[in-house]
Amino acid sequence: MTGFRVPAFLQAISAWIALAPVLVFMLAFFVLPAIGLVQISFYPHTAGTVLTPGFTLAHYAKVLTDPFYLSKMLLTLRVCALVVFFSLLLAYPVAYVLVRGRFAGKGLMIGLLLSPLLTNFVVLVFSWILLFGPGSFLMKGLQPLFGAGFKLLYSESGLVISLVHVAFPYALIPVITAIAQIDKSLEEAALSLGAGPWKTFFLVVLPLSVPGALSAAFVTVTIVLSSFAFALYIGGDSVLIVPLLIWQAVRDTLNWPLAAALSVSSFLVIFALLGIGMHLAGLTRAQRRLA
Amino acid sequence: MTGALHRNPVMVGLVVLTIAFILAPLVIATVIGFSSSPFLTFPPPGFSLQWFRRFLGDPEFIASLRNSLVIAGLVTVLGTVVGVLAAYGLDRLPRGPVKAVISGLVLSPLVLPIIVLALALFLFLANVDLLGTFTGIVVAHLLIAVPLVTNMVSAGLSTLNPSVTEAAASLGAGPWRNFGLVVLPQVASAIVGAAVLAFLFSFNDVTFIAFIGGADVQTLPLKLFAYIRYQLNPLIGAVSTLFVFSTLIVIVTFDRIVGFDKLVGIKD
Repeated sequence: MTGFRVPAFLQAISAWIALAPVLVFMLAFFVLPAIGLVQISFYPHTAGTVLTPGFTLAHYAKVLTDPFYLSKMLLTLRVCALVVFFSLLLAYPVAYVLVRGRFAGKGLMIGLLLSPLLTNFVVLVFSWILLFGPGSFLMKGLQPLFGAGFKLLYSESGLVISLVHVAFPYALIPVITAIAQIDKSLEEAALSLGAGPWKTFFLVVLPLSVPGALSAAFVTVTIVLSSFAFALYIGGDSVLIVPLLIWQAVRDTLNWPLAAALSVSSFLVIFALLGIGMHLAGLTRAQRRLA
Repeated sequence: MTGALHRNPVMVGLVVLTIAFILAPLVIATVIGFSSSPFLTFPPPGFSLQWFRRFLGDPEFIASLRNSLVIAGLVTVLGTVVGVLAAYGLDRLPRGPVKAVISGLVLSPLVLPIIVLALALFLFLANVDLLGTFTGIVVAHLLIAVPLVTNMVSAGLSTLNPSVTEAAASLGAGPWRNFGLVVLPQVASAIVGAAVLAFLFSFNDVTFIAFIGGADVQTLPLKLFAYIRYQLNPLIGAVSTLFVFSTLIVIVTFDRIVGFDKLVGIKD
């Protein structure tokens, strides 16, 4: 390399100049508010005032030991687990066909499958209210099958269905990426050794795409916890999941420290689960290597 | 040849059912928007454009639509500029702990539940008196738009051949000229795609705006959010139709410019 070269220090400075706006922005509006959130979660709550500085563990004790909050935490975990399961169940066949199939209009088909991600949540909520509402054509068709007491609006199953719909695109993308990375010749080898196509799918494709499924699960849980508009209008008071409890603590009971403690604890629970998931995935891969 | 599982009837059936499940609610909301009835009967007894007229003739809805467009426009421009600069800066940093910490900091808003971010920002903005202001909402949306752009443009930058930039540098281009004339044109489609996603995020957001919006700054989603609490009529269907069609236009255009297959990494 001969000729003029940009001095190394100038290159380094240019990187920092380019990073300056984002660093200032993130420090001011992400790091500081995050610290504030943790701090406020320890403030005592006195009715009538909004925020009283101080230190108490009462909110965490309430969230983690009070039977009401404990049962709602478990309900939230169950809703998350169901949404993850069904999103993956739908995402795998679609992702496999998209990756291995050869047909025209693939890009557009992906676009349509991702459309819930690009549509306004209020529109989606409205559509589900329309479908699940008493007297809708869907309910008229389903009630003879499941009995007159069957309902989807203000029920856990209805909430799960609507959340699978909105979470599906987020689950699809990592699963597509994971399957696209699997070497085709591994599947061919399994097939030529006499494994049927389904056996190959379950014994080769599925295990090799576990990292993708895990990141899909993680994003799905994040979506479930974010979409309180669904919780508010489709689950309502009969399915009080954590995002709705946070909303109610902010808007209705004005107990901001409790809302903060709920956010921090649900955040910690997700990261613990993510850690366990990654640990288990790493373990099984290590075991396979040993075998 | 692989085991043709992608042509297996069970597999294809599942895919068709999934597509139907994804599209059905949007189709139904669209059809209801053309209803001639004041009630949400499906299928509608007749068709009319009355609900579109009601929506377009309501000054409050139009004002909220204008707010939404202005906010999304600002978020797109600011988010794209800051996000592209951040991606470029990250690309130039040497691999190591400093880079890992900075990219972790920039991208972490994307992995947190939005409700946690919204609550943190709500408490913070209440403290500095920016709750329910224009600035507060733009800041909130940038919290997602900036990492979104950084993430997509970083992915684009990582596929570039470094020798092109080195050649430009050895011919005398400084880092900024190099950035503007060599690097940017090569990742233009990633930048356009990222800008579109940033716009859509801001335009569609309900969670942030429900927490930190206020009576003074109503966006269209917030207005609708409050509206469906008290009344359910085909008006929301008409708005949904407008949303669904603009989304479809965006999907087709985006597919032309960037390509969804390329976006998810299965272009062959």
